[in-house]
Amino acid sequence: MLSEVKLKVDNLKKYFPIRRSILEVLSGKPPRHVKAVDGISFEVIEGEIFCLVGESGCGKTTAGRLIARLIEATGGDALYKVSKNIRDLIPERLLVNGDYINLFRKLPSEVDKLLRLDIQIIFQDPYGSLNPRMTLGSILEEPLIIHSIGSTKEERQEIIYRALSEVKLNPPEEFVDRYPHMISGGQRQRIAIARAMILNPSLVVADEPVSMLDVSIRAEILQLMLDLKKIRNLSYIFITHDLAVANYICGRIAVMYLGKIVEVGPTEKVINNPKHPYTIALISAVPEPDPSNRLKIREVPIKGEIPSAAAVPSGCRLHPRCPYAMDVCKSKEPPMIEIEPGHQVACWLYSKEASSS
Amino acid sequence: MSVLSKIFESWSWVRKEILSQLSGKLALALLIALIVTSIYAALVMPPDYTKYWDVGSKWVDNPLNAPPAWASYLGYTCVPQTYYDLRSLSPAVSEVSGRLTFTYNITYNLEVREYPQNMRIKANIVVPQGVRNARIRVDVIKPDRARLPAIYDRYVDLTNTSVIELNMDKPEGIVTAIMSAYRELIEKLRVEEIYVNPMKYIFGNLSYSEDAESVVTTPLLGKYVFIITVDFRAFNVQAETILRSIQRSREFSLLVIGTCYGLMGTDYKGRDLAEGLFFGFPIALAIGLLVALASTAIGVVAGLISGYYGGFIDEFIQRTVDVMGSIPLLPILILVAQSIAKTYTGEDKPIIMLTAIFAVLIVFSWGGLTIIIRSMTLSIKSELYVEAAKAVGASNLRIITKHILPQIVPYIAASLVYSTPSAILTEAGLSVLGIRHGFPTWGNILAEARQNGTISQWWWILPPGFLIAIVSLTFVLLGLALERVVEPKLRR
Repeated sequence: MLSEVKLKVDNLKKYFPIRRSILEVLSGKPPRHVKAVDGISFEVIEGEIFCLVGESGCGKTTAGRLIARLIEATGGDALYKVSKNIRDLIPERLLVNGDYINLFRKLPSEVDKLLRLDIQIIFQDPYGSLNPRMTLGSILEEPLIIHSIGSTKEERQEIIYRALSEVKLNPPEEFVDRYPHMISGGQRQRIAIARAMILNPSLVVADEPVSMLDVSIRAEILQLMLDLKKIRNLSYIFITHDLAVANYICGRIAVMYLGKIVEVGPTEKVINNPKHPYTIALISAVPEPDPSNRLKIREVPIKGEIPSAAAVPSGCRLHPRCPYAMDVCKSKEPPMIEIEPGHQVACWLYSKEASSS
Repeated sequence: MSVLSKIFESWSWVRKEILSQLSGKLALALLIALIVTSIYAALVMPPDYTKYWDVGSKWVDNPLNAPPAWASYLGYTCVPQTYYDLRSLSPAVSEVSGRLTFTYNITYNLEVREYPQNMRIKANIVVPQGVRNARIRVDVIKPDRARLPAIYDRYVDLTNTSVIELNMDKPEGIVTAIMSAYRELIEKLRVEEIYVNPMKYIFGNLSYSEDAESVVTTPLLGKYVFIITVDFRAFNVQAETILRSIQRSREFSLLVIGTCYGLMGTDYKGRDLAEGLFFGFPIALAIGLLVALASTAIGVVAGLISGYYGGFIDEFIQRTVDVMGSIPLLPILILVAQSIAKTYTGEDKPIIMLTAIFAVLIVFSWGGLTIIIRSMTLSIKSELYVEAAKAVGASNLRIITKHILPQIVPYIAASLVYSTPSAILTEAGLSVLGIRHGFPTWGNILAEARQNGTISQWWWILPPGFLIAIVSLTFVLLGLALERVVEPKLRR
């Protein structure tokens, strides 16, 4: 693929402070943090679907919200290639390497607004993400009004109708006057997608967009997202805990564990040839579709629960649960090691450094 | 234009929704009646009404503590007010050695078994040059042919509006007259009882009661003749000249004051309660609405800022509310009102006091709403759709007005509607506690009834109470109706 990098995230961190008790403040204990995202780096290639997978609590949603700039990062950089239509509107001094802008710098409000036009997010919960007091029409109209797209009400109406039929809500005029509680979950998620797409973004963060939907309509929504990507040449950051969904939709996968990326690579390589013990465990936990195997209880190689992000284990974060844990795992964090082109893993098992020490 | 039409559109929808409920219909009817009455009262209210109400000499013609005129249907015996314009009558004139004597014979008919409350002669005559002084004497011939000589006999100043109260001014004249008219009872009469209510002896049938061991009176029905003699000591003045000046005078009249008055009766100063209650409308509504609007506005803005922005400003607002909440309102109100009452004595004292009461009520009544709005804002702020709005680039102002405000409108409406009567009630309570600003508010009328009235004076106690209750009811009903409008879940 000759496409350029759309987003390059480097050492992204998000720590949420924990409120200290009075005793802790008085005894001078340092403030503690929940390290939701603790230094992750990845690249999103233009036009690809990049997936963040991991069990709940691993920080994948926080990472998505950071990229959509709904919360402020504690540290790190994200170089984002702005799309052509807003490129000229951004002052030169903010641009890096020509077309890139650092998302986590303090940006002037008009640039911030432009970037919101360009980066959109689809939320997991279509029941919560639509204001129950607004009609679907006015929900879709809001971004248009904010960004002054369409000067007259009729023009905006036209855009809304187009967006509705794009997400296959036909006939659109039947939907504009309805309230969210009058439509089904799948239709709600289509509205949420339409809201994200109506501003014509070039990067969409999809935060588990199908995990709250009935299994019967997941494929439709995924197909819709794929179709939209094809038409608009979008890039997706797709966040999911469902490896089946990831396998279906993703170009590349990054597996997260406790705020860190442990393995990243093209989907077929990560799924078919997982290297990291955590990835192996994740994949073996996927239910077997073969009926003859349904009664077999399979051995999942790792045990226990994910530790709290407030008390991260030293060294490799997986070591208390890892069947292959060595001494080095307890003390030193493993580096990212490229084991085949494009497939990297953060594990001492594959490090020459570890075996030599 | 589109904004106007939008407002009109939403208003007509709100109206339809309110009118679809019985409570809404009732509330709207009451509210319109209240507002129309208030506007009308505010327009016709004399500019110096507080003075006029509190110390005005306007009320001297009225009976004191009189029930309303329609109380006769409830079994009260009402003696009607009877007014005689002496200017239009032609007196018998006689002249004896420099003294011109005008004699008016006035016939009065007592038809109900009750004594009139008082008799009063009013005079405001520009006397011609040369008239030294004037003396008025009143004789009464009772239906039983008894003649009460000179129940009143005094030199008077006729030039200023002199009010000659036969009841109060010189009861000793009445005592003497009665003593001389009923010689057979002279041993039994008790002077101090005549002093208590001389009218009973003028308009009564006197008889000795063995049981009571004193003279008792019963109303004596029939024709009374009042002989009013005006005696001018004058030099070189023709009787016609004086007569003409009497005819051209502002006022020269006899008034037999009855026992019932007007639509709503009178209080202990003879003030027309109907008038006081009527002018109480705009003040009650102004207190209620102003305090409710201002405190709700402050509460909503402070709550939104506190909840939405958080941080230092949140802490500041919340601690302020805590401090305000722990200060008891009533002592502060009394303190402020009392100190202003002591400081200002001028003409604008009522206005200054009322403003101070407004201010204190507003300052102390926004806290509760702020806490509620803050907590609602906090929970709405973390809703996913607010985050979604942020993701599409909505500004803080837009999120507050489009996503947060619509959700808290029901509470704003409810607070507005319920704090209106509470402000009126607080003001009434303040009046009852003795903080007087001078305006005839309903609370003030009630407070005076508490101090100077008795429980039997229902016309004085009940109407202001009812009016306060009705205003409260109006707003509570409106609140019930509005609840349906602003909360879509309650709609059918």
